[in-house]
Amino acid sequence: MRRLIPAIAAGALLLAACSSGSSDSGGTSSAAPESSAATSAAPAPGDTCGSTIDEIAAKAKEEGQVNLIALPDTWANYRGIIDSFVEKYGIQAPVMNPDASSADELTAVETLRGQPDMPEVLDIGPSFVQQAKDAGYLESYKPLVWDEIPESLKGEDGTWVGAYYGVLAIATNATIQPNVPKSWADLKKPEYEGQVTINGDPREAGAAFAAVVAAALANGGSYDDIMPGIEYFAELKKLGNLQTIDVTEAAVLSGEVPIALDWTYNFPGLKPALDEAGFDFQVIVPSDGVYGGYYAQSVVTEAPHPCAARLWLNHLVSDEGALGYLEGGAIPARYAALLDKGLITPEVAANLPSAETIAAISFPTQEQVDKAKALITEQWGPMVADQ
Amino acid sequence: MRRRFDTATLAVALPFLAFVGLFLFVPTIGLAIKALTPGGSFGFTSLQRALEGSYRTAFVNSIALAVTSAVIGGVIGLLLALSLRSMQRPRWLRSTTDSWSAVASQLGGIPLAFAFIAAIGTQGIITKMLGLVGVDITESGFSLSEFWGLVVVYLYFQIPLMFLVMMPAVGGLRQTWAEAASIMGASPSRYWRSVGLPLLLPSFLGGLLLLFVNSFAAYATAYVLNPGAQIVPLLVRFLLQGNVITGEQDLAYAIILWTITLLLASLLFIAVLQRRTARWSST
Amino acid sequence: MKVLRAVFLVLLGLFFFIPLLAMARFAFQSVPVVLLTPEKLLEGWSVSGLIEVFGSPEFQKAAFISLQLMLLAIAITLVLLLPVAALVEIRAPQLRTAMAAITLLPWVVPPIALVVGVAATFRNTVPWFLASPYSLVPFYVLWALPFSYRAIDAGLRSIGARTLYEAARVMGASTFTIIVRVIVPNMIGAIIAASVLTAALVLGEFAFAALLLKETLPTFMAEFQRSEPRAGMALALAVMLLTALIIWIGVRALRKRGMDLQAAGV
Repeated sequence: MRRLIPAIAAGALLLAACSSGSSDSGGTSSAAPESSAATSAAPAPGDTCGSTIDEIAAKAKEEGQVNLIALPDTWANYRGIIDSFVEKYGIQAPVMNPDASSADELTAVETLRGQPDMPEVLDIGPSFVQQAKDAGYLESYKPLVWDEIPESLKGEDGTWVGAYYGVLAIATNATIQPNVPKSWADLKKPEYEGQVTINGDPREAGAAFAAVVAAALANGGSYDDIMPGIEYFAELKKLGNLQTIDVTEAAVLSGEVPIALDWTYNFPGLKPALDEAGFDFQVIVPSDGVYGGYYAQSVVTEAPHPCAARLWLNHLVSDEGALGYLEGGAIPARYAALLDKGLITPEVAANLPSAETIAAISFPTQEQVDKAKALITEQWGPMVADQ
Repeated sequence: MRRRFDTATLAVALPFLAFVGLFLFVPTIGLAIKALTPGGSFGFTSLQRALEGSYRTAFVNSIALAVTSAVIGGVIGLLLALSLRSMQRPRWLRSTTDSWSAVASQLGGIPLAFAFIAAIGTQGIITKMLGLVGVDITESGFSLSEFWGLVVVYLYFQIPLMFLVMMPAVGGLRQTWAEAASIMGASPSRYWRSVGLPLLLPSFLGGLLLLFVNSFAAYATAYVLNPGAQIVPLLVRFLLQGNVITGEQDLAYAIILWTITLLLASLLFIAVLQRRTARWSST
Repeated sequence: MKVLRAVFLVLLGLFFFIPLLAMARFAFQSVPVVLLTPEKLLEGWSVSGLIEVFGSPEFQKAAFISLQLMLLAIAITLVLLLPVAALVEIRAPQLRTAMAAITLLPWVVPPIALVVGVAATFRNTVPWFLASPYSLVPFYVLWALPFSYRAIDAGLRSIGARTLYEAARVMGASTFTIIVRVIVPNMIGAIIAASVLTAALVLGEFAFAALLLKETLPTFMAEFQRSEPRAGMALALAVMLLTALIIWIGVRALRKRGMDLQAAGV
């Protein structure tokens, strides 16, 4: 018994050293060389899926299923988009771990590599695209309507597409707080004490990060300098206006978070329940700081159902996918194309911010995002969380 | 006796050791290696960074939260075990508490946090009821998102856990001893001071350790009440499972390594205390 | 003294009961607190959301998987732990601290670190293992270790397993006989405690299931809570109460046969 434990420990050490050397769910370089060679040398299997939507759909039908991840039902109306996909093409589209974070998605791909239920299409925050690329997870595949997607919403090498984006908005429960704030400056007023909430922590949640950047834009900062945003929230906390309860659906529904800062597309899904409760909910894009954020969709390499995965990506950027996003209050990538086709009717645009707001949206570059990330990681704790 | 470590012993111990080796040691050693090799080469920079600035605050906060909820929860749990032990009636009370404790000790995350929000949050039903009588909870500065709010919510699973830990020990206190003590003229408090509590102390200390570790690891509940709370499990989550920060896995593993070290230190501390207080236990 | 005890128990009962009541009120009444007036007290109550979800096939499937995982986790916990705990208690008490450390470690290493580490090993050896829903069982057994080992160890100590063992050996019994016919029957209480906690744990565990992309009862409930907050809370309450009820029935049945959750005390 005495000698057994050291033996097992030694064995474990050996195993751990071997396995940790071979991979990481992150950016270590050991995985990169072989995978980038794989994607550039061998022809991607998806090229044989077809060049028209019908060809792809036929091959996909044979595969029968596409594994999705991290798509909550009430997020940008993904429930509706998935339902329309399943109905139109007759393919199963199960969503695993809908609450998965971007990091969780990459972990899942790594854990289930080569298994039949590996996630096949990712929906990740922009800051994770590089890491996913380095790890060799992103297939280079351009959907059929590639040319109609704006430059800022796609990766040139075809590794990702930003199928939808939203704007950071102030959602107010007007029943509890009749004086609806309309701008970042408004939120500092004393009547909103203990009511303003961001969705998560900016070091972890995309919507919270967006709130800080948007606040920076409204207070003299820019994508290159988001310190004013951090200072803004530090002040908000000092004033006592910032509440730190998480913006969960239950908290919104109970009225615990009267003013929530979140993506526009996170509220339409909750509307029926809010109406039933008798709450008057108003979602307003702040007039002084407009920040648009997108999520990147990519087909995963070595997918068990490659054609179905490509079909799903095409569906997201198609007209049906776009209309699905619109219903959820998100702006589809091909908004301009749909506008030209006359598909943006008033009913469809009901959940959207105004056309001027949409025109004013711009996205930060990868370097700007990285810089902002570093600043928040360093300063949010001491300046806001600790106060 | 030494020669008894034969194949039979090995056969018995092997499944457990293999299991623990594969599912616990390998990942732990793996992460220790990653913590000690930041950016691919051996070094202590990650370990150093893990103790600076926000991370140091997080450790302090987590320890404070863990100790507070462990001690308060521990004492109340012990009192609960003692109270129920001597009660024969009502008969349903024992089994109800036993079964409810098993479930309550595992509660956490949104249901638990929201139960408290629904009760004593700013829009809580109790808050409203108290408001009708003129008592304003929010004025007092109490907030579920702050330290004491977290402690109160953590107690919901700490107390049952301690109760479950103490039950076997409390049950081992023979009623006959208490009777013998009183026959010999000892007051109840004398009995407790000299017999009861010393006998319970080792298990109590072990339970405290369990509660301490449990609270240190709990994050789902804290996340709902305050996603930005400066505590260790949340910071690790930011680094390993978030939507914003990338490329900081080594730092996260360094934080975990420090947490493991802290645990082992606490364990040794408690083990020493236990040995010194175990006077009449069956070893 | 008795009065103090009664007051203490009542206060504690309120502490545990009131949040649940508040949760139930939110779950079953659609009128929010801020709009609640004495006239509206009886308005907006309904259990339809809860009944609907009980009938949904995803819920039933998830619940079934969780039940299977629960039974497997209990079985493997007992099979793994009883021999080792008995071994340490009877033959190697000096290893007690080491065992305490080993069994406490699972709660210190976050699930993400465990999953990533284990995945790395399995990918190179048995990659299909992690794709099966039963791959959660070892993680659950691991997660239950801090408590299950402690419960079984406490049980062994309080029945004086060492003395029992040596006495039985002197009388000529084999080790196997001793374990099966002497030790285990006396430890039913501790075994039940360990099993019951493992059961409650499996039915509430979310982190591993989410990381490994499995659909269990807790993951189903988490997603359901996002799309239907009130019905989701109702479901959480229902699952809590059902779990407690099942445990209650089991504990009562054993108490009737004189087997207590605590060690034999006069």
